[in-house]
Amino acid sequence: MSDSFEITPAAAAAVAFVQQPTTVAAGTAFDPAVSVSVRDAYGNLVTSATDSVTLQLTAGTGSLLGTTTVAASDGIATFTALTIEVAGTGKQLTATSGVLASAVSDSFAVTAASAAALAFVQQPTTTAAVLRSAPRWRSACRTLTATASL
Amino acid sequence: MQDAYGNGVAVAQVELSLVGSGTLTGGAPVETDAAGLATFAGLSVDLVAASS
Repeated sequence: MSDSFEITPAAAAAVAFVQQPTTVAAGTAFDPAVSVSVRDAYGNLVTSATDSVTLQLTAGTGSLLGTTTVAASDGIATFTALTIEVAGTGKQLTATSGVLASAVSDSFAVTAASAAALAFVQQPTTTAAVLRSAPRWRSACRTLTATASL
Repeated sequence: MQDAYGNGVAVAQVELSLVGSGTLTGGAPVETDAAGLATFAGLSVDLVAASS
């Protein structure tokens, strides 16, 4: 039996998602935080890597907000405060780092945050009064107030 | 109904009330759809009921 020996990772060649983005509410940081690793050509984690990794929203609506470029530590870059404010499905992130092969995340969704406001889409309009048998007059030309409950 | 970022909020109850004279009919709570819209059909204001 030989003495034990170590095989170290080869040169960094690609980035890969460790923690994929998951469904998140608008304006709320991803939990768990998205993380990306630096790998060699054989898929080994390059634990010595300190490369800067950048995330971009490359599919779906909205913008990726927060600190989108993070230096890897022990070969992994963790993005702790990323948010997206536009709700929707089919969103994907792309991770890049210089000349390394990039990675595209799984598809994820952003849901609406808690209700914050009401707005009339169609305002009430002036309507001719209608004579009823009572006789009483009906109209729809007063101010309406909308209230909400969840 | 919208969140703080302008996204429609689904499955929430919205009701209407009238400011001013008259009695509103049809303003009972309506649930918002997937786009955050609550649609009130057949709204009317009875003017005589309030004054009689």
